[in-house]
Amino acid sequence: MKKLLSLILLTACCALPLKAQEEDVLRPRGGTPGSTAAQPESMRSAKNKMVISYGVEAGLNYNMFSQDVERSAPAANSPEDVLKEGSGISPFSSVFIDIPLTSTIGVQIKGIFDSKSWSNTQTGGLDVFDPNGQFIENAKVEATYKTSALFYGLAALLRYNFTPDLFATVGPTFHFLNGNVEREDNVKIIEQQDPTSAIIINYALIPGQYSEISRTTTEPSMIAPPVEPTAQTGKYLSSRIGVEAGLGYIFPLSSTMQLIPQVRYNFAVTALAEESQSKEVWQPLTTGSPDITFKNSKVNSLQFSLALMFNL
Amino acid sequence: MKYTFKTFLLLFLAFPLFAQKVEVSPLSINSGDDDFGATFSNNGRVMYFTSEREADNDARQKIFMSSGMGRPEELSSMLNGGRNNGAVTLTPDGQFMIFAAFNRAENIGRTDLYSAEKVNGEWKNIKNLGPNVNSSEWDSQPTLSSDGTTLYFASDRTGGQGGTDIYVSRREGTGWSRATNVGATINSTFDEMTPTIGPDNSTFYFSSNRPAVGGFDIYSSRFLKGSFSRPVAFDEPINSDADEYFYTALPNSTTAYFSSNRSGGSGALDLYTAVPNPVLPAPVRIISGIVRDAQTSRTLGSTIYVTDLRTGKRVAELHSDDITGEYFVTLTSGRKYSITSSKSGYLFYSEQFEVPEESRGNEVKYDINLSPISQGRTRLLVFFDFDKSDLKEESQSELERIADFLKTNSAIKVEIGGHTDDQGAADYNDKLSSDRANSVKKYLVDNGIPTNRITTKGYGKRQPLVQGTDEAARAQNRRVEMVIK
Repeated sequence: MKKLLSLILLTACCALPLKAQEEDVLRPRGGTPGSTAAQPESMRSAKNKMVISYGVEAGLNYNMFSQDVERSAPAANSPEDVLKEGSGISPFSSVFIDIPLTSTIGVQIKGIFDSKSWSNTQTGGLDVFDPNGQFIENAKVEATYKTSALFYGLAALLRYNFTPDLFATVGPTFHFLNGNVEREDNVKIIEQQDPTSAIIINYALIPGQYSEISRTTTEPSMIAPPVEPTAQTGKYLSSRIGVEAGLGYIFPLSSTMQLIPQVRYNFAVTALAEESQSKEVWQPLTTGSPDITFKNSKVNSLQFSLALMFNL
Repeated sequence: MKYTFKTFLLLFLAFPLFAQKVEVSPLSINSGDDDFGATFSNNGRVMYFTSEREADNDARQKIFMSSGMGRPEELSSMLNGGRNNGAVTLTPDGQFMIFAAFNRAENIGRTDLYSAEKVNGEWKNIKNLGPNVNSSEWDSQPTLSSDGTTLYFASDRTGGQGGTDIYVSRREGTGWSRATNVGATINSTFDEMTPTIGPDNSTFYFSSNRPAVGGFDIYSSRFLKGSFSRPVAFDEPINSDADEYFYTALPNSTTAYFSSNRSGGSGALDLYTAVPNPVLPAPVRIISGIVRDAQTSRTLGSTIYVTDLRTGKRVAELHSDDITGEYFVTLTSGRKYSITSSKSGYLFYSEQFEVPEESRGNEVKYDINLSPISQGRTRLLVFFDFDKSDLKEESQSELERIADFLKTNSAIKVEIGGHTDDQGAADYNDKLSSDRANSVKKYLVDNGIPTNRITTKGYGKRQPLVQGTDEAARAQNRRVEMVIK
């Protein structure tokens, strides 16, 4: 990883002297278009000068979470399946530098401040008991969870201009988890024949009888709720790698400032968390308690942003 | 009222052009490298431009000259003394040049403006225009008004509207006034550059990368009553999705020149013509001629001033070529002017003429013969009301010239002789002509010329300049002459 990052930065730095064009009577600081050689169309616009630019960007993620939930035996209608997927909107921002390499190709290096959150709601079955612990029925419950995490990131993107205004970027992204992940869970009975029956479960290590159970945890590990104290936890990984591809369009605001709306898709290559083990406990009498394995947890994001870019 | 008339005249003249398709053609002298910034002197006969065609280790961009679109010649290394040199502007006589140079020894800023004078066929007296014009930043792309008194240029100095802006400076004696931004009508937060002012000193062209057709596009505006009209971008095919710069209109011509890096050229930036020019400058009268020694007919380089007789303002200062004696001056129609030629060792010569409002496209030849001081005789351009001997206001500039001449040549003595036409009694004409000569003497004495250096005589109608009794002949015969004694 370090080698890859070093290589990208080295390439960008080596490209800088190539762009140091001397000033002349037409081009102040050598930066005005219409340069010495016949240039491709895309370099003939003020919006696409052969100058280094920097900028700030802010936008929204549409996050799409998914993970595999495998069981040692089938457990139909399990509320645990809520964890298979999730989605949510969260903000992100970045600072970036754009270094042109050729008339149409450049490199963008980004420092990213990326908030991710996603949630899901699903109904399922739950074995409920009377106050004496006698099994009553398999009640209908609604399970909800919401996860929030904060990442710092770095992206090294290759830029290609189709026209002076329209460009595409593609390249690797590197996200580093900052602090703990916050997780909210909620399970509540929404349909039962006997109103006195309740959830009796050693949930979050708090035994009791509930019609609704909620908790908020802030922890460095576990994508799955530790419904069982003996569950094997899988830590959130401290870093993850993705691939990003997007399109942007340049609206010039002045000769040195541009407004750039962009849309991108960030595809996660590596997992969000380690593989973890748990046990199905929601329907012990009607379905049994098979082992559960959570793996391949990933968050992909569709990003919409507005950037302000300034020419150096 | 006058402006309304001009506007309708322009619209009328330009109307046929709206219906015509503009033809854009590359020049045959283009090279595979950058060629840009065509500017003309001598009524379009001589073209100067900037090119990288013969770049070497010392200079990349150089100034070239082409006569009659012939093979371009690189100007002297003294002129091309910076690393990059060019974006030339000249006075219409081709005797005075302002150009930009990057990395020249005398630079104040990164790229500065310089002036040069043509002396004996060589560009000499190269001077930095100084801190009133040049900043510590990039100052380039000068354009001179046809009277040589107003200089527009582009600069990326701080304090503008954003990016590169267009600035203006005006002639103040031998120097230039402090440059000021031409304002937000022309300049924007985008880059404005390559200004050119038309021969009418009103039609203004420049390039900007504000959104229009694509890249840098050419805009036109009119400078009237001290302010610019809202700029309008040219349509295709003059503007394209490539860059266009340095739009230059020739006087009284439907041909304009510009530079572009559009595809289909010889490579990089090329020079193009646009015919017909969709935004024509107002017609001007071009006065040209040759200055000669009145005795030997040898051609002379001399200083020539043109004065608007209505305002008394000097509207052009030019030079005839030291070798060919040729001079060119572009004047706005509808005014009465005086033209004065002077040279050290010669008696100055003045003449008045009128450029009619409707004049257009004509180049008027007017040769000037200067008499050596030793045996000089010249007609003075002084004016009197009918039957009066009081000097009229429009005589002022000529009277100042006479006083200056006598101060400069303090050893000579002169006779001021008054002459009338053939009308009226001889005695009366003698007295009138004598009174008029004495009026001139009185002005000169009042302005420091010793009275013993000036004699006066009233010749009445006894020494007509030309024979005849028509008004043209009489007009020539009514005169005051100065003769060296």
